[in-house]
Parts: sequence; C-alpha cells; structure tokens
Amino acid sequence: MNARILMVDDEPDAEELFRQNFRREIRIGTIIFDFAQSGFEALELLESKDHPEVILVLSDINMPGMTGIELLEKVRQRWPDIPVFMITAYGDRSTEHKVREKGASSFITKPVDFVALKDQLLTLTGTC
Amino acid sequence: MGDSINLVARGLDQLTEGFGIFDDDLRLVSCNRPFIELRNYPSKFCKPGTSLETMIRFNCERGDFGPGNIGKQVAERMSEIRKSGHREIERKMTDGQILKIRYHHLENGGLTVTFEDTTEIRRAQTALAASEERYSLVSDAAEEAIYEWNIESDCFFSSPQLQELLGREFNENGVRDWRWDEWVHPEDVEHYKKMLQAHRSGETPRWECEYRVRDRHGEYRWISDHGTSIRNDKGEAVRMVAAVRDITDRVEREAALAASEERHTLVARATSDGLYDWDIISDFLHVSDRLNSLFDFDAGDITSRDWAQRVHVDDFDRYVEALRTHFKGDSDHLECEYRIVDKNGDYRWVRDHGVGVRANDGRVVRLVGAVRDVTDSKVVDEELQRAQARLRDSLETISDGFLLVGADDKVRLWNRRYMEIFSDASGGDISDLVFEGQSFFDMIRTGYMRGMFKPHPEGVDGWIADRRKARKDVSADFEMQLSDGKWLLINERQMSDGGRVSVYTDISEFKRRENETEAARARFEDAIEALSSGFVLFDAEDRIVISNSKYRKYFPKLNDMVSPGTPFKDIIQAAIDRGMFPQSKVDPKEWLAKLLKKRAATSGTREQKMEDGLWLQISDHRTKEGGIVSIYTDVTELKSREVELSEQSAILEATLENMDQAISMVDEDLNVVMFNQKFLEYMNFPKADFKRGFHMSQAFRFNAERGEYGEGDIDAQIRERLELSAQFLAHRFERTKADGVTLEIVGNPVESGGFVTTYTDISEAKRREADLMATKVAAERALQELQKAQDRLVQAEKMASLGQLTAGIAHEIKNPLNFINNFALLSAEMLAELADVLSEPIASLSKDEREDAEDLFETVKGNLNKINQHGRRADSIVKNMLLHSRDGPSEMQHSSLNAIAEEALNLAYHGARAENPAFNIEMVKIFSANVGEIDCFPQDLMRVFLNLVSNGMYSAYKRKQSSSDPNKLPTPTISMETREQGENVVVEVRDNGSGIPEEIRDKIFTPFFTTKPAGEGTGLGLSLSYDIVVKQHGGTMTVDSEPGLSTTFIVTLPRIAVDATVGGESTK
Repeated sequence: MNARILMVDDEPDAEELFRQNFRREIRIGTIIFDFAQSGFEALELLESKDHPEVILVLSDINMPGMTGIELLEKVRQRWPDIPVFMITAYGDRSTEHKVREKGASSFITKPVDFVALKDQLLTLTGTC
Repeated sequence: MGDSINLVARGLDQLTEGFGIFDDDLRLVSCNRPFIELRNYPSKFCKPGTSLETMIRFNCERGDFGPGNIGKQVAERMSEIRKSGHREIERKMTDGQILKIRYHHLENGGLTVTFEDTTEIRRAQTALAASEERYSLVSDAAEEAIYEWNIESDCFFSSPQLQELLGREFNENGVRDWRWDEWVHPEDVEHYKKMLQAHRSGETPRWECEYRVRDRHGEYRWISDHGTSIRNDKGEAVRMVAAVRDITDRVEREAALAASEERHTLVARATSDGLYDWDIISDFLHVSDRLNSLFDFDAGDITSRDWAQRVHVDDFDRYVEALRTHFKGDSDHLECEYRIVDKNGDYRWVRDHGVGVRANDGRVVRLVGAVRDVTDSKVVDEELQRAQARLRDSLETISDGFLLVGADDKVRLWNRRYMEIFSDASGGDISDLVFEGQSFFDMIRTGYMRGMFKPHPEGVDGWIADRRKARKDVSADFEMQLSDGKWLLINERQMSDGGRVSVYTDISEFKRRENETEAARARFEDAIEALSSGFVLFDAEDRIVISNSKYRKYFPKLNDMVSPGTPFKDIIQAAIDRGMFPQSKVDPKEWLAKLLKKRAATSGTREQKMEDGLWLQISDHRTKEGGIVSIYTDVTELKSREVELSEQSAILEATLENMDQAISMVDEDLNVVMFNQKFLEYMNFPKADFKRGFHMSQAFRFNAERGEYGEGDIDAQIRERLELSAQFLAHRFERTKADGVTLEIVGNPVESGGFVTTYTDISEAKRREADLMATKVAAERALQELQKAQDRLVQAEKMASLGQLTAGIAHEIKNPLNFINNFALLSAEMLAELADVLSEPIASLSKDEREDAEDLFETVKGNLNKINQHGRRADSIVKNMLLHSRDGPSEMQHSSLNAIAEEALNLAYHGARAENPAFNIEMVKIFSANVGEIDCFPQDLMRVFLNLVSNGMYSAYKRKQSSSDPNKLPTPTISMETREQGENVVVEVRDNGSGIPEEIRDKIFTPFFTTKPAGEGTGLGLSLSYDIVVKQHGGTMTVDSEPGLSTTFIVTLPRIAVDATVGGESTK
C-alpha cells in the first residue's frame, strides 16, 4: 500500500532534502511525497485530492503567512483522521507542549534525525 | 477867430477830464488831449469825422469791455448811448483804471462825452475803509465792553468798560432799577426794540445792532451792540452775552463822508465847465458859466484880484509862487492846488491847471486854464490822514506793543512800545530791522540771529516754522519768552484783508509772580511731602486745600475724593459708604454727626482704627484762618504692641505653666527671675523655699547639701558653678537623676543679659531613639536588598532583550546550518552507496586509475565528514546561545540541592566517558545534609554544576594527559562540597588541574571567552552559569585558583528566594 505524505515547509531545499533521504522508499513506491511551500498551498492540496490518500502531514512551524500551528489546527479540525507531525528549530518545551495540546502526533526538532523519522513513518504506514 | 478857437482848444487840453463832441451822426467833431490819453486812443485815430461806433468797436477789440461777441457788445453800447438822454456811469477798466463817463445829448442833436479818472478817489476811499477796520480791530482787542443779561432773572452784569463808556454805575449784584431802552435815542428806539425782539425770539441767531445811547451827561453815543444768547428749548433767549463798542467816531465820519460825496458830485459836474481865460495885459478874467455860478462873481468884468481875494490866506503865497514860476518860464504849466472860497463862503479845494500864452519877448500875456474842484478827494485824503494819525496816536498811547503786517507778510505799522520791547531784547537799535515794507519773517529771522528770542530746539528754521504755523490761525494767543527774560503774551488776529494785527503784552511781572507763587507752593508741597506723617490742610469752609501723598496713601479708597476743594464732610461720607470705618456700621448717620461735631468743637489728638487694621493717630490743629491742619501718624505698630504685650504676658504665663518642660530665666546677676512649677518639680526644690527671684547660689547650695555634686568642699562646689554660670555660655547637656528620669538641660544666653534654661524629660525620647535606631537599621537593610533586587531586575531586563536578539540571530543561522549538516551527511551516505555501486567497474580499472578513484572517494568522504563536523560545532555554539535565552520553567521550585549536585556530577562523568572512553577521574563528594531543599530553578542549577564539573574534569584530566611526566602528578580529582552558611547554601567545585592564571581570572565569565582549543569549547558555559547563579538566583559565584595546583569555584545561593518573580522574569 502506498503511503501518501504531505510535506509542508517554506524552504524549497527541504523538499530536496526529504526526497534524497527517502529516495529508496520513493523509488520503490513505499512512500509518495507531496510538497507544499505554505499552509494555504497545503490546504489546497488536501482539498483537491481524495483525502484518504494522504495519510500524514509533516509541517514546519515557522512559516510566513499561515504558521504551522495554524495549519495544524485547521487540519485537525477538518481531517481529524490525518495525523500531523510538526518539525521545528524551536526545540523548546513550551512549543512542544503547545503543539501537542493542539493535536500534533509528533514533535520533531531540527536538524531532523532522518533515521528516527524513517522508522516512525514506516511504522505508521505499516510497511516495516 | 481861428486864433481864438485854437486858444480854447489849448485850454481844453489843460483839463484833467477827457472831452469829446460828436455831431448828430455821432461822428467826432472835436476832442481834447485828455480824451485821447484817458482812453488811450492812437492820436491819429481821433480825427474829426471818426464815428463813435468805430471808437467803441476799437475799445471792444482791445478788450476794454472784457471777453464776448464784439458785434453784440458794440450794438449794446450804441443802443444805450442813443436812447438815454443824460447818463453818467463809472467803469472799471481791465487795467484797474476807474473812469467816470458822462454822455450828454445836446439840444441841436449832438453828443458830448466826458471821461474823468476817478481811480485815485476810489483808492483813497478803499484805503480809508481798510484803515477804519484796522482801527476797530485794535479797539476790539482792548476796548470792548462786555455785559451779560440774564433775561429770566432780569439780572444785568457788566465789565467796568461799559460803566466807563456810559458813565453810569451798575449794581454789582445784577439788580437794576433802569431800563436800557430809556437811554436809547428816540429815533433809534423803535429799530432797537425790533432788532432785540427778533433776536430774543430766535429769528436772528446773532445779536447785532447799532444805535445811539445816552450817557450820564445826556450826550448820545453811537454804539455797536453785538453778541449771542443761550436759549431754552423753545428757542427763546434766556441769557444774553454781548459786547458794546463805541462807534460814534466812525458813524460821524461816515456821515461826513456821505455829505462830501454829495458835494463832490455837484462839484464834479461843475468842473466840466471850469474854464478860465485871463488876459494879463488888460487884467480881464473870463470865467465859464459854471465857475461863475460856483463863485458868484460879478457878471462881466472880473479881474485877477477878484480871484486872488478868494484864495485861502494859507494857500495864497503858494498860489502866487506857482504863478510866478510859470510866468518866469520855469514851468511848462501852471499847476497848483489851493483853497478858494465859494459863494456860500465855504472853502473848496481846487486844482488849477493853466498854460501861459507868451508874447514874442517871452512875457506871458494871457493865461488859459481849468479849475477843477478836488475838495472831495482832498477831504477824503485828509480824513484818511487823520484816521491814520488817530490810529497811530491810539497805538502810541497803548502800553502794549503793536505790529501790523499786511497780507503779503510785509510790515506796515507798529508802535514805539513794539520797538522798545524788541530793542531791549536785542540790546541795541533795531530801527534797521523794523521798517515799512520789511518782510515779517526776514525781520524775525534776523531778530532770532541777533539773539532776541529764546533758542528754539530746532534752531532758527524750526522757530520760523512755528511762527508761520501760528499765523495760519485766524487768531492766536501765545506766550513767548525773549532772551532778556521778558515774557510776552502775543495776541494775533487776522484782518479781513488778510493782514494781521499782533498785540504784544509784557507779562514778565505776571510771570514772575506766577513763578514765585508756584515756587512757594512747590516749597510748601515739598515740605509736607517730606513729612513722615500724613498731612492735610482744610480751609475755613472745611474744604481740602492741600494734602501730601502719605495722607492719600492712608486712604487708598478715597483717591478720587482727596483733591483740593473737596469738603471734609464729603470725604468722610464717601469713606463711610465705602466701608472704611468699621465703627460707623451701626448707625452711619449718627456716627458722622458725632464726628463732625467733635471736629467742629476741638482740635486735639485722637486715634482711629481703619478697616484694614491700621491705627492712625490724628492730631488736628486750628489755623489762624479758621481752617484745620490734620496730621495722620501710623501708630498701628505701637497699638498692636500694646495689645500684644498684655496678651502675651497672659499667654506666657499660661504657656509656662502648661508646658511639659521646666523653664527658668536667670538675669545677669544670677537671680532666677522666672520659673514654672515644673522647674521646682524636676529640681525637687521645695516650693516654700524657692520664690521668684531667688539667687542661683541658693539652688547650688541646696543641691550640694543634699549631695548631688558628690563629696567635697560645698563652698568650692558652689563657687565653681557660680563662676561657670556667670560666663553665660550657651550649654546643652543631659542628666539622669537618681529616680531614673533623664533631663535634657539647654541654656541659652539672652541679649538683655542672663539666660533661659529649659529642662526636658527625655526619658521617653531616649527610649524611642533606641527603637528608632533599630528600625532604621532594619529599614536600611531592606533598602539595600531592594536595591540589589532592583539591580537584578534591571540586569534581567537587559539580558532578556539581549537574549531575544541572540535567539533571533541563532534561529536564522540554525536553519541554513541544518541544511549544511543534513546535506553533508546525506552526501557522505550517497558517496558510500556510489562506491558500492562502482566497486566492480573500479576494480576493473587499471591499478593507477583504480587507486586514483579510490583515493578520490576517500578524500571526498573525508571532506564531507569535515563539513559535518564543523557544522555540528557551529550548531553547538548556536544551541548554547539559545540557552542564554531559552524558555525554561518559569516557576521556582523547592528542590534538594544535594540531589541536583550529585546528578550533575554523575552526568558530567558519563558525558566525559561517552566522549572519551579512556577518561577517568577520582571523584570526591562532601555533601552536608543540613543544606536540604532550597528555592531554585533545578534544571538551570543542574546546567551550572554540570558546566563547572565538566570544566574541572577536563582541566584535571587534560593536565595529566598533556604532562610530559604524568606520573609525577597526582591523580586527576574532582571534588564537590555542599554546606550551609547562615541563610545561604554554598557549593564548591574543586579540581586539581592547571589552574587559572591571574591575568585571565576576571575574563572567564565573559561570553565566548574560552581557553579550550578551537572546537572543544564555546566560551559560553561559565558566562551562562554566572547569569544563572547571580542574576537568576540572586547568589554569588567566585573563583579561587592556584595556578599549577587547583581551581575552586564557589557558588553561594540564598536558601529562600529574595524575590521569586525576579528569577522568573529573567528566564524569558
């Protein structure tokens, strides 16, 4: 089964970083990445597609326009079944506390430990 | 016969009148020389046969009759001449010449025209009129009599001149027992009454009437009565003010003049025939009919004797002389004016023009001439001369200077007094300056230059300008001082012809008196102003004469009232109305009555309290004239002192007895002149023995005898104290009595000698002072704490803002850094994968190429690791920077210090071991159980201890490791000790590393300062720790180091947070 993951980050290089790190999984089709550079773009994507396809949203917090936390609130409200992982450079506890309260499934600090993240994703998609 | 006609023609030529005869066609038959000359006709023009119309046309064309249509002018004149029988007209020519023209139609139808030049007569008449006017103006200035008639009350007041004029005396009170119109001439009385009625009713606004009035002697005088009236609302005159001027002379002259005019006309008519022809050889005198009728000679033969007999005896010699001169040939014509008696026996002035007919030997054989009656112009001339003489005489008689200046500003007339005044001022003769025809302004300019006048601030031009300005007014009155000090009152009046009359009155004496009076008054005023008291003088009618400013100052509300002439009663009334006399409020009327009664009765001194609390002593003195002089002296202070003194004595007594202090007063002889009961109480002196006035020695003896001064010679003790007291030095000391009461005794010398001593029970104050001191110490301590807390707060604020900045920078760097690290790691992985993928193709390469490829792989891999390694180093720095500004737990906790310390020790050890498995160190723990729990942020304290321990371990281990001879060194040891110290707890971390050199010891808490090699330390550990301990927890952190031996960090923390919020805030 294909796991479709929506990655949201305003840094264009983030997409490249994720593609390279998950190149094997992408190549064999275990994971399909959709990328959005803003909260608005992410919401558009979610609305335009059949939403059960996207099984996970990975979002940066510090973004211009809609912040990751606002996006988190909206996704949790409209698609409560889709888990959301928040990624941030603000690794402090109060931020973590805040995002977890708002329903984030995971709180990942930058730099991202891709080995750990890969484990988490594969567990979630059940391909492990 | 022709000779005869010729002679007649020559005689006619001698006439001053022009004479022309025209025929019935109005063509010229004959004319004499004056006819041509007076009309200024060209001589060739006046030939027989020239028509009158041609002559008139010539006149018109020449402009004799002014501008206009010439044809029309000629036609008009011709028709006038033709229709009228006899006509006589006077015409003023354009050149100013006045001609009397007579047309006389002859019975046989011809016309005679005569011209007579009357210019001179008219000029003389005009001059006379002007002179008359000047005369009356002078009279106006000095002679007019004034009266005032109050019509309603029928009171009549007049100036002395009127009484003088009429020679009558009028009652001063205005009551009259006469009627004015009784005295008016019967012929004038109707006119007078009519005029008066017209004026009183308002028909004529100005009263003006000339009539005759009878004086005391029964003589009538002509007067000009003129003036104005004050009217009621109906317009009727209720009061008349008028001036009366004696015009008798003028009226008489006018009458005379009128009479002479009449005569002149008659004579003038006669003179047209005033021809004579004297045959000297036969002495036959032929006179014309006109002459004959005038003089009524015997018909037929008259001789020169008949003529000569009639010549006025006074003029006879002159007449004969004139004849002789002409007969001798010394004159071309006979010309003489003389008086001759007419048939009525009146002398007439005639002008005799004649010309002699000479025989071959030159002798005059015949005299032909014309006699013209010039009485009229003579009379006028004489009249003029008389009027002028009268004017001069009257001018000379007046004591004022007089100057008449014409409209052209030329000097015309002046009197001797005028000359005197200005000669005196110039100090010399001024006849060269004052002459007829002199320009007035040139005259006064020269006068100014000669120093006759007081200098003008703007010099001569300014002075002249002022005078010119004054002359623009119709009349001007002004005073002027001359350089000799003389004061003049100058009264200038404009005349109708534009000339100006100035009358100069010497008012020096008046001025001097005025100045003297003024000076005397000023001296008096100065004197009263100099008084320190208020001064006011009232006259016998009790009206203010003078007051000084001091007086007015006492009554500022009455400033509008206090002026000369105000009655005392009015002033007092105003003062009462304005509430200035508080005592008057009950019954103002009675109060005023009383006051006035008192004032009338006495002079003397009284005191008066004013509303503003001022006390005035008023002393009144009667003056010789019956007035009152009042002197006002401010006695407020005196008054208030009197009152104060009695009040204060009572107050003092009461105060002394009621005060908590004991008090005594000693005079210069050491007698205790005053004390209160408290004094006896405090001193324990028996009341019976110590009466007011006791001597100090008694008190000393009493004290000495009861042993208060200790052992010793009682007399010596007393003497010693008396001597000390007599120095009268200010003193202050405390004395605790046997009953435990502490007294503070303060003595101060008083100016008048002696001193005042107060005794205060300060037992209570002493105790309070001690309490106060304790409170003060506590308060100061609290203040210090507060200041420290405040400093921390300020520091925390600074750190917080610095922290925000740092955090911002750190985050910005952290993101790209993450990418660097991530991509470097990823690349290394991928390179390894690439190496796997390419292992076979590489293996198949030649040895050189294979080695080259493998070498490249290794190098790139190494580079990527280096990128990753340095990236992590930067990341570590950024992380530490973020720690400075992290969001930690915001609340203080109550935690066990020992537990935190122990955990930190363990973590550091394991951390070091994780990094370097070979690491080992001896650890010493000396934890005091008394330390217990403290208020702190445990995570942050953990970080501090971890940092200190890690540093210590690093230093101790490094020293051993880097030593060239490690065995000589002791085992690396880290020791940690906790202990209680008063309200604080102390944590010491000691290592036996290389120590911290003295010179860098004060830098170690500075951010980014590190002694570790690059990449091993961030330089932020100690700086961060210092902030946590000092700023966050309010503790202290010091370092003690012996280089080459050991380093000890001592952290002191308060057990209980000084201010929990301070720590909390600082963690933002």
